[in-house]
Amino acid sequence: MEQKNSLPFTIVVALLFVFLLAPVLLVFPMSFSGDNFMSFPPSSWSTKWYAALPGNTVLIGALWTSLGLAVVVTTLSLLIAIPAAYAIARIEFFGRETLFALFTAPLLLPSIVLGLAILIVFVGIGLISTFPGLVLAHLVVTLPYALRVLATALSTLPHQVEEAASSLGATPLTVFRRVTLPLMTPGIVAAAALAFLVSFDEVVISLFVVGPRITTLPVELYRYVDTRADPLVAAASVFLILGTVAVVLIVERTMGLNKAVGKG
Amino acid sequence: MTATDTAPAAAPFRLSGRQIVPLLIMPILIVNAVSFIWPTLSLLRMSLNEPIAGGAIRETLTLQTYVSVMTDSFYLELVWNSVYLCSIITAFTLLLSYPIALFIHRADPKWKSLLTLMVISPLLVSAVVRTYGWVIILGDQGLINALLLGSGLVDQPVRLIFNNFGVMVGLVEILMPYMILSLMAGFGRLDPRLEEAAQSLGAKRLTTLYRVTIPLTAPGIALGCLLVFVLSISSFVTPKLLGGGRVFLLATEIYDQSIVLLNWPLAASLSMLVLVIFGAALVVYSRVVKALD
Amino acid sequence: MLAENPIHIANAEASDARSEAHLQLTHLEKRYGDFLAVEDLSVSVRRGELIALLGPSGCGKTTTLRMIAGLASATSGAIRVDGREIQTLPAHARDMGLVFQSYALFPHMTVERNVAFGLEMRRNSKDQIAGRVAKALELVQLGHLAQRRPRELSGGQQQRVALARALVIEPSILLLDEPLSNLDAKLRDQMRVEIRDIQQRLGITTVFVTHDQVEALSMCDRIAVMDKGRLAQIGTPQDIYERPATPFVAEFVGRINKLPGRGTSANEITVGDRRFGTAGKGAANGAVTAMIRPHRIEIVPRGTPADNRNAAEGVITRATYVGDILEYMVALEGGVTLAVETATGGHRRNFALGDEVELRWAHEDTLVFGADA
Repeated sequence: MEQKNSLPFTIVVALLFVFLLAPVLLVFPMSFSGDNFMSFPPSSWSTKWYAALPGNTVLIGALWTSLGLAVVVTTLSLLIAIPAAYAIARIEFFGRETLFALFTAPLLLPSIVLGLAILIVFVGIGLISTFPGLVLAHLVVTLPYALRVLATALSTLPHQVEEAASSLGATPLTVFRRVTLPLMTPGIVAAAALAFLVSFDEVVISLFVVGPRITTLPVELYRYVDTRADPLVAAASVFLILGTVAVVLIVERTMGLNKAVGKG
Repeated sequence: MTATDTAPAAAPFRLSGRQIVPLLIMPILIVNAVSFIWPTLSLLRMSLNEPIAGGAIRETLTLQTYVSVMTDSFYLELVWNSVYLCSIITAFTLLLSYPIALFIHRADPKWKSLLTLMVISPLLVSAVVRTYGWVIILGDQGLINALLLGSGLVDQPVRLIFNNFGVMVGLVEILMPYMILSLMAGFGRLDPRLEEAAQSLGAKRLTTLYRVTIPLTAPGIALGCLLVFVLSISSFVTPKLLGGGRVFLLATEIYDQSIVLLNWPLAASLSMLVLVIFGAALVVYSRVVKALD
Repeated sequence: MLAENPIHIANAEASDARSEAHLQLTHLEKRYGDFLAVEDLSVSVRRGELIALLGPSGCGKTTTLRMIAGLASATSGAIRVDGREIQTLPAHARDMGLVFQSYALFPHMTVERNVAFGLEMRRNSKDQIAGRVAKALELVQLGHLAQRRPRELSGGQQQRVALARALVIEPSILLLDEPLSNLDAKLRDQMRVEIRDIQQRLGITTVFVTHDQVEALSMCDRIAVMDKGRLAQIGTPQDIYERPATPFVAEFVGRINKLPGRGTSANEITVGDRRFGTAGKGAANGAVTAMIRPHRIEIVPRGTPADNRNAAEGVITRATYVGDILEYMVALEGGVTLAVETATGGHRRNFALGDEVELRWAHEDTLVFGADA
């Protein structure tokens, strides 16, 4: 880059980065507040909000639901999106592009609109406030991401490697199992991580589907912030942020590892 | 299946591939139908029903809810307020994102990836958590008020949330990563030598910015603005939490009508209105892009 | 002497089928929409033969190879191996060893696993696989790299792995798709010899797709030249080079001079007011194009005693030294310019720009085609 960033410009940008990252970073000191209400900077420091977290049965219950939900949604997303991505990226058939557009279209709708639309239908078929209802609602938003990532991963795979395998005597299913699938591992990991994070963080659509019998962590955090203002949410948020970092690191590791192993 | 090739018997590998297509896409098609197509059509249908007091719904075909939205001054103001606020949010997001994007574009490659990661990382944190972070900063006993009170500039906490200002600040910050990424995508066209050329011709730095840099990056700006406008119109969590029930926007009204007041036909027609505004934004965007070419 | 055309091939088939035709393509056709990629292609490959499919890009040679391998389906026509029709078999049931231009090695497997893949598909025992893989790697001199991954190998080494992977399954037929085009010139020469050597040692019937006439001429028993999806000529390298059936073949397999003229008899043409004897299969009367390869022309000083060859006087207008040869451009009276190549070194006399010289070439080196050439 020939044109260097001047010092005043660097300072302006640094301040903008502070603005961008401050809300996330301030959650950390806030979680160690010794006050009983939201006040920053806190008048004293303590770990009492961390101690209070396990006792909050609503949040803990919601956390387990969200984790279970994210795992189920991620698994189903892969099982459903991998065959679809294979069809769309690898087989020429009539209406291929239209179908791809249809399958990714849910991302174009605002969550609030999609949530209401799902509520209207799910009420009628008894899926509101059920685990399967939440799974289906989350799949609508995770599948487009997974499909997109997997289709891109597949279309960058050299087709000839698969042809080589079939000329060596591998049936189409064996070609997929022994060659295509291992080679698209980075795409699968990325799709899984994305599906997991999207499901685990999803609030708006969940708000329409949860009920007295079942609720998710983001929904409960939302309700908590909406009704009360104390640092408990900060402590919970710290765990959410660390969890996200862990997922990202796992992806980074796996992808890095895979780059070392594959990709000629 | 929809085999377009008329090749006779002799297409074993390819043809068998085509034959299994329905099998491969059946699962996603079912999910899509149950949780997207059917709900979307039901929503459209719902907007044509008639709401009865107390949350009941009469199945009919009427444009009544649309008419009431178009004639009721509350809803007209709601729509206007949403579009106005989101336009301002878009403008501020652009203003604060452009320097970051330009900085990253010009940065050394080794810094580039770290800075890009810093831009993307907030996207991975739940909107609830990030909004909560703004409560910490802007609340009556938050960071800003602590600074203001401590410096003696004010003697009463200043109201920074539960009003339009709070919603704006929160949404601008939350949407900045999208804008920065769109701008960076558009900056691919910006050759640093062009800026140099302009300066060697005697242009001052600011003149270069207006005459060379900004016009060249206009497609990225247009894309980012479309994205941020659309996302701000449809965002719900941040306006709800930072607006504290005092800021009325389309998204929050859809939620209140459907969950609190159980007026689904009205909520449905407001949803359709959001989609119409989406369409309008898209038209403006494509006009702008065409004009830029 | 006559170049074989598809009709002659068809006649030859009858006898071939009984004796030694190993791979037989009959009226093979591949159509993409309105585009005919391969048209009425009939070729018969003998057992143990190395045959080249030679032609420019887009001539249908790779499509033909893919049809043989089962990676593309034929629109019509038949593919037979040992008389058995195989065009309805899927690729994995065809028993062909295929080497791709890009090698298409499995990036996630070691060299050893790559080579073992085909044997695993055939459910060989572990011991048997290990033994055969080791032997195959020995054949291509890569035993010491068995545990490497493809991306750790040079282009030439990857090429050998691809060859070993295709050969280890002892396929009935070996298919090579431009296997040398991604190698640098020196390595290419070396691999040319090596592939031919391995092919002869194993006696494996091989189809070799290439756009490089040097590869085809130097390696193959026979060459099938393809032009716009059709077979232009099939024959030995000598046939193709010395007796091209069409102007396309003549120009594709090497440099050649073109002279517009008129046919006067079966073995004589006139160019301007000069008469030249020809190879003898002249196209009777009317406009013709004579073609002469530059290195078949000899330059002699004016006044050299006449012999029984064609002769024409001219002036040297350009002389280019290219190491092993000297390239001259010689302007004949009447506006025609001929390229002439002579070997350098030895006692050969070199000519300079502006020298008035005489060109001599044999009657049989004067190829004659219809004027549309």
